[in-house]
Amino acid sequence: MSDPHWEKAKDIFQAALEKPAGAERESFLDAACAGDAGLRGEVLGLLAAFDDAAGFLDEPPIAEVAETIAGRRESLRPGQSVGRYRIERKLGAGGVGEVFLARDTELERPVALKILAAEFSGHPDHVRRFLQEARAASALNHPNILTIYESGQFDTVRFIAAEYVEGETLRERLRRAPGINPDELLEIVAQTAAALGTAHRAGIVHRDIKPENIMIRADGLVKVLDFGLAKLVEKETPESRNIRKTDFRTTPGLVMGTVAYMSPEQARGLPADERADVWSLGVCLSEGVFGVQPFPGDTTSDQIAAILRSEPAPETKETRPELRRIIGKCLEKKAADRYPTIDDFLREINEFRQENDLSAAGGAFFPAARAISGAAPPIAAPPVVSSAEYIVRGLKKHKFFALAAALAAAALGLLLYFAVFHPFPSAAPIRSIAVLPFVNVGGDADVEYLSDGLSESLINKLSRLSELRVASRSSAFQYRNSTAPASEIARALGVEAVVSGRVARRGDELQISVEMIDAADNTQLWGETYRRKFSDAQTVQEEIAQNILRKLRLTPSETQARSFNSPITDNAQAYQLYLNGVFYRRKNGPENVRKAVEYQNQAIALDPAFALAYAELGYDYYIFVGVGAVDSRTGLPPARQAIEKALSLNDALAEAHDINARLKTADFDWPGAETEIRRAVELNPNLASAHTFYSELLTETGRFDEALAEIEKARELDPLRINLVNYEAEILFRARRYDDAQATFESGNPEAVGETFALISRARVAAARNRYPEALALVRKSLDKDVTTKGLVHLGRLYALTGDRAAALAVRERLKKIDLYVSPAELAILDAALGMREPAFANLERAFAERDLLLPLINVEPEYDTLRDDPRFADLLRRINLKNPAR
Amino acid sequence: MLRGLGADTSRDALDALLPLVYDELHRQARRYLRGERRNHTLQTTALINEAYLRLIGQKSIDWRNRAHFFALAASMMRRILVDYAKTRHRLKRGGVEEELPLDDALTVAAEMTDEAVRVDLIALDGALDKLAAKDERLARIVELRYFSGLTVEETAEVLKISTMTVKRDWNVAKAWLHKEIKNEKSQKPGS
Repeated sequence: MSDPHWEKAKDIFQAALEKPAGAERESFLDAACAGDAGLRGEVLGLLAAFDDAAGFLDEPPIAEVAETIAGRRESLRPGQSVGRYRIERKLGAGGVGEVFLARDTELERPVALKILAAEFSGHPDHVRRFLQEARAASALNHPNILTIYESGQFDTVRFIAAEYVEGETLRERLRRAPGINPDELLEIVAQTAAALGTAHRAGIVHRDIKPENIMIRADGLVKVLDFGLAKLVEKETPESRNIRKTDFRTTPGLVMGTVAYMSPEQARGLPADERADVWSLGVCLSEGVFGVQPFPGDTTSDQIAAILRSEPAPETKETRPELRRIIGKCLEKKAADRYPTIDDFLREINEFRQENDLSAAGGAFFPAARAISGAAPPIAAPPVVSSAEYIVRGLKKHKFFALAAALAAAALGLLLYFAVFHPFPSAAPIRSIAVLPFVNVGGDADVEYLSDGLSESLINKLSRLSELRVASRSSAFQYRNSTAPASEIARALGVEAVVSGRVARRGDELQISVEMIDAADNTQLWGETYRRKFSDAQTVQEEIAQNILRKLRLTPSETQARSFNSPITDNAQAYQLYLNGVFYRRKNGPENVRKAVEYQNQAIALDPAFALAYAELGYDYYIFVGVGAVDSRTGLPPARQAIEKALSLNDALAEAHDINARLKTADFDWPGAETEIRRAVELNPNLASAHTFYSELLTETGRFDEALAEIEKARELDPLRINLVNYEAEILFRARRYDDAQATFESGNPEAVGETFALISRARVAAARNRYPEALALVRKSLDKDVTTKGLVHLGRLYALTGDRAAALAVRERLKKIDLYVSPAELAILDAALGMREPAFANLERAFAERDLLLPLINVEPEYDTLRDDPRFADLLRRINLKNPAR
Repeated sequence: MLRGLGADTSRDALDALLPLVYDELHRQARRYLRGERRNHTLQTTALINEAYLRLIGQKSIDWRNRAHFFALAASMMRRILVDYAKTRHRLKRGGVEEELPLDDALTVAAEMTDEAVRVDLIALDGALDKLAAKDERLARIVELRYFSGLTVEETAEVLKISTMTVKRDWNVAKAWLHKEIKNEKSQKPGS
């Protein structure tokens, strides 16, 4: 190909490279070039350049333009306007543009607004394709075809405004129920055929009819999407991810076009006419009737082979011979043997329906579909799919015509092409996730505990995987009913993916739709709709968890896998009761906690091996003590009993160890408590509450720096739990770092530092900094919000310190009469401020006797400082196994 | 309407894939900026092998030879990336630097310090044209290795030459291109 001189130079260059630089290389060159000075010079020049080129071309070329590419997107933000369309949110992004949900401010209706990316608006080719798409689709006017409202340009922005449709695709419908009702299926097929008939008469062949492109609105109206596009291959869409599980198995992460619905002529790369659509719709019908694809295959090439050569897969279900005949006629390999037009097919379908009384003229399933104007009540929540998604996919393919011939090649091309350019999911695995509270669609209060509970169980379950960081419940649940895009939520929570779901109940039936969104680009990683008996909520939860695990390609250790795989309970009813219990415990207040206890006891009665219910029960009892509903001597023994039982059933239950640690501190067993809490954190690194409690434990034992570090961990898991700032400030306060505590409060979220107890803490910090008027104002503000015994104690103390002894004593009297449990340890604070040492020590003794949960804090709280020199104080600390930390 | 049936179906396939490629590039770019950039190559090539093996078993598909496909893919990739580089160049000259999210910008700043390994894609593009005139195969190897990210072994297989030759040619090509780009720059300072 090139001159011998150059070939020789290359050989010598390579050989010389293998010699060490210096004399040896020189002599080699002398010999090799044999007096040819030109050759020697050329090789030397290459060698010098080679040394100079170290690192050259080592980085992928994307390194050079990454910022240019990455910086080009997201041109429009919510609130911005394109002409009369106001952007509401981004629905998706494709190769050359983005799709937004927008509001037509003139006609006051939502539209799917597709925008051609700015960098392409200068390319005549892209612009032409963009407009062509709009033209092709808008040429067709039929109720079953997605409507294009307008295409145009505003400033430099090119856009297409299309009907915004919410509904579910036939794919989802097929997946949802165990076998679609023939009546329902034939109605959908008939509407699709009607749409295709209109298109064919206009000379447009769809060429990509498949369940993903057939959308069913909540009222039953079918919308055929992607019209006029020669559908080639597609990006990994939600549907493709789900339906091509077989492909995933053989070639992980590889994405390819759907060939399953492709006609033999398309697979051969031959021209395709309307009979190709007949074939594809026939495949859809066959799949709906028999529940399996007629031409299955593990890989694309296997599928193509089946389409070209095999008979349809043996039928798995009995069906009427007439319907079988219709399907068979659609699936003739030779186009000439099929129905000559889609109308012929539709006629036979309708005849079949009439003959079989399948309501060809008014189905029970879609009463509203025929009276399009009458908006029917949604059967259940339509899964979050919209027409826009299909437009997004439209963005990703731009050959409209003349490509049928290339279809087969293209499918294979994609196979190779993606192999080159598509990084697999495993290339950047998702290792942090947030589960948002599932939406209770009907608003049915009786289902509320279930929608919350399902998400919470998922959080609980996923949290057991140490490889995965799971945003804690309290942070994730702030996004209840949020309409913010996943990327935004994920950013706030510091995670890479977001799981959301919708729960609807109709009688005894439960429909749960779940999806997982990649926050990087708001694409769906996984989505599924489950329709089950109400009582099967537990198994659905397990299924969802397993699916997420699979989708994330996590490989938990054996111990973790065991913990993950072990169901929360086998008893569906017990699970419901457990969820109810958790729901009430969350609601706080002694009455609700009492209900929670009842529910957990009932759950345990049904499943005596229900470890998590025992752990919850233990927690409920502990909370009784914590909120002062009962004293420790009454409340802690049943808590202890429940936790012991939970641990005997499942020693790997982080929640049980967490509570057990708390119970051990109540017994002043500090090393025991620390062992337990460390075990809890080890078993479930994502348990934010355990980190918070660990920090309390460390504070009580005077290890303030470690305590601050634990709070930091809790904050990472729970970034939106704004009141963690209060915990931090309180630790600083106990460490006598008053100015730091003050600064921390000042940096906090106003809402957080304005909470009842935060106000008291701020008052204490102010007092420690000798700012009494400010302290008094803060504590009064706290009492205005809610009268707490702690607030009163510190109000009294501040009166005492500012010389208003009478007022202080009055507060003390009030505390004696108050109808709330008053911690004797806290009462001692007021006594100490009043100089009443004997009552102070009497109260501390009582605190010891009652196992007052606040007693350990005397070790570190500054307010006890005036008592510390008394030998009785040191004795008390010794008895609770603490010593006054040196400072 | 089905004009060009005789046209190169591979190229049609690639053209149809263009939007996907842009989409994919965008993802890769963001990944790169986040610092996750290694390890793509190995896995992708393993898959190319598998995919190809499956494909050649499919007699009924009129699929051109593998080298042809990869060559097309690589030159297309080159064109796209160089276009991006040109866009950036234009934007910079026009004073409209693309706005980057702060964290990305910081990453970029950190990545971009080592001038020695920076590649001016526009200059590389020009030099590659010259190299192709001199030695077509070397230019093709650079496209496959650099723009398509194939390994030495993959490249050898695609071009039906030995790995030894690929290694040698790759070294020669790198040296030659580096020298060429340097020469060009010194002749036209400030470009």
